[in-house]
Amino acid sequence: YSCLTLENTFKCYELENGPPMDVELSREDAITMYTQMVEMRRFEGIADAEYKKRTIRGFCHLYNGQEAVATGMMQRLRKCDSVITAYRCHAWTYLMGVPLLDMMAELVGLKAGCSRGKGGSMHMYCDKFYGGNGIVGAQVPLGAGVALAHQYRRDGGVCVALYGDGAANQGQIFEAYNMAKLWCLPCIFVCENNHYGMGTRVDRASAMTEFYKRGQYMPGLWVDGNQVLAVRSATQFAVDYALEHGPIVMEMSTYRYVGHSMSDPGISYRSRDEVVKVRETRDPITSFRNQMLQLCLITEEELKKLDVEIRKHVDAECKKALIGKEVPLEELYADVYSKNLEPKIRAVSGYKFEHFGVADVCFGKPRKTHPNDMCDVPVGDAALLAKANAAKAKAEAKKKKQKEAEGGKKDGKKGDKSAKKGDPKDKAGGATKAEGKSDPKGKAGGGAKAEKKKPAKPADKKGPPPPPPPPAPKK
Amino acid sequence: KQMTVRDALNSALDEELARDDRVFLLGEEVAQYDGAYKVSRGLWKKYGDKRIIDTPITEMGFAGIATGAAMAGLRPVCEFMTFNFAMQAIDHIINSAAKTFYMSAGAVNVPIVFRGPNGAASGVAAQHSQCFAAWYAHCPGLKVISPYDTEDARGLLKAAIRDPDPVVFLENELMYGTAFPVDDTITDKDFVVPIGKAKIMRPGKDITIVAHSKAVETSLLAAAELAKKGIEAEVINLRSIRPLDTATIFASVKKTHHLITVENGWPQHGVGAEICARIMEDQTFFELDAPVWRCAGVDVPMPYAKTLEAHALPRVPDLVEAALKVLGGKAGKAAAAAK
Repeated sequence: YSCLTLENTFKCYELENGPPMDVELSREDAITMYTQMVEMRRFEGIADAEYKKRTIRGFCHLYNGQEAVATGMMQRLRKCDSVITAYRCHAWTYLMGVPLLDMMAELVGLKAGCSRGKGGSMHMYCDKFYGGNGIVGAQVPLGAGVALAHQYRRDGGVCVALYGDGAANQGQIFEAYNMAKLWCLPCIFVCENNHYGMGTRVDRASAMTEFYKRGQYMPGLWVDGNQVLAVRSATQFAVDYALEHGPIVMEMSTYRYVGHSMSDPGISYRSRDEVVKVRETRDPITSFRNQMLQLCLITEEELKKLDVEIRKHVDAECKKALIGKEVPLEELYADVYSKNLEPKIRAVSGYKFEHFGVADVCFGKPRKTHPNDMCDVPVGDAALLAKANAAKAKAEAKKKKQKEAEGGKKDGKKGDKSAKKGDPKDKAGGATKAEGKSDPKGKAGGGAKAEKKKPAKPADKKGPPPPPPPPAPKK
Repeated sequence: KQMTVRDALNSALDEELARDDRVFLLGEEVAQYDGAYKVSRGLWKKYGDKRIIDTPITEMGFAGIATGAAMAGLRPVCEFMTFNFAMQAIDHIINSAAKTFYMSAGAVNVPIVFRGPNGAASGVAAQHSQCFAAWYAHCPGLKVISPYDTEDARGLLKAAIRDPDPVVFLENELMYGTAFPVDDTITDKDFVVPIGKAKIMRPGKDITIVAHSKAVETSLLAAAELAKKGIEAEVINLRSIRPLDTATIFASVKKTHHLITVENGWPQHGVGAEICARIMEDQTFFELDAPVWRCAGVDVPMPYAKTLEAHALPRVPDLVEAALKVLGGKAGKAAAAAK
């Protein structure tokens, strides 16, 4: 470990003590953070090139220059914490767990894409990561809602809701602040202030540009968002604060080198000199690199070697992604509903498409969201079916018993079996929560087998509709 | 045994709250005030602050928070004092709730119910009298329900809460106090009505009347009037606006060969318009003996004055007139046969 003191990196609002200025840095952590930042810079470079080749379409917002924010924060967020951000989401998506390949494949709209080519640059998700969001500001109340879920479940997690300086003026952000404070939600509101909302400089859009004070009744923390160690330290502080006292606002002061999106050259509203100057004096990667060298955590040669490795790795992953397969055409009408009730999805002309789900193979592997979030209690038709089956089993058991009484021991075993079967069915039909993990398809009727079976299949997708008693939807 | 629609909703909420501890209710005045329309009466006392949450008057914010909680695996019931105010939050209903499952290729589902009174109340003028059925039913990813009576309200609300997708549940304030007979099946705690299935409220062979929500009442009264003229009208209560149970409508039309649609919302691009289009595109079109006729709210913002308001919505005589028009000469024959 090396120790160093951070300077001019924090400003506090309504806080007695800010984050500690003295921080420790291990070689391992340093390399991890450096690698992540360089990976992201490289990835965005490739995205930029691909966009210009027109393989990436529509919107594409690059994170160049802001890498320290995501990287530093992720160092101190724990497995149980959630993140939701706006449309500039590539770095967050990657650091929350989507592999580079899946991400690049999504950008170019291929089958291997983490949203199977249905989301694109702004709509990528994974466990505990609730996406980029294309509606400026909408992610903030959503994030407060995720924080509400953390509090509701008492799972000790916090939610980080990120937005830019442009979104900071959205009314719904203040609505979310208000409720988060009222209900003491474990939510960290993070304003990534890159000083331009599209082409509008902060002071042309905001009557008050100290975004960390915008919470008014909520404490705030201004952080030099181009210093990864400052971000890391501040995040630790914010997580602790949010868990103990409720919501807090952070302002990460940073800068974007590129235009707002790919169609913006980024120089009509600011000078080239301004961009060059920030690049030279405040670049998060260069400054951290120098810090590592000063602290003798790594040598110049090692860094050079690392740079080459990273470049090779990112290039290789993206290359693999780019030669991937197209999304099959039938996925156009997949996953509209997790429990589809539409008899047919309408095509351009006529009701032709049979809805189906690819949810269970999302991200190329079994979905990460908890299966019990989908259907862990007998629901609707499944409940009716389970009930019908239970009644049937009961009747059968009764019959068997009668037979037994009449005909001696012959049928004893069979009667026993059906009685056993009937029992868990009864349970499944009732108002149970914990043990009611019957197959959501109602296929197994919540029988003894279903209890043991993995309840991993989310809702009813394929598979035959349950037999008559409940008038079941077909797919 | 009788039960009001209000009590049906209340008991459905109560039972679902008891059944699944991920279910919670939030909205304006739902807790300590007992609900602006008393739908959540007694629930706060029973379940406390964690499960029954009063929000400030900030629809966009709390609809967003509810949607976020649903994304994270809870099952919120988000009450709007009326759906007129939900327009402030419509971005979260459509962009955040309805589209996320598709955009994430099935990674994030949003099990949420947006509910509250919809459509015209009485004497509250234009901003507070509007039917949103067609608005929401336009959007893939949503399920849209519009219950009529106690059975619908109870069974469909329970089904909606148990559903893993976002559901828009359009109640009607004017129906809250109306009591309907109930039996043990309906009061059973596991009673659910399948989403996406219509109900034939009154069988008939001469003409089909399709309606939803309070318009079902008007349709039933009209059917009774028609019966006096010897015309047997079949009344279909849609229950779900999306998915739309075209199978039931088509089957009925194949029997009656005549159809009128009734809704309290505006006509253009409305529920009736959609039903007409669906029939046009189906073989059922050839079963029709006369063009389909729509009865809908007058194409104006809702006025305040009592008589104007009453004439802004389809009334029984309007329906009878429309049915007779559609039946044409057959109406006369039926009348003659009745005599």
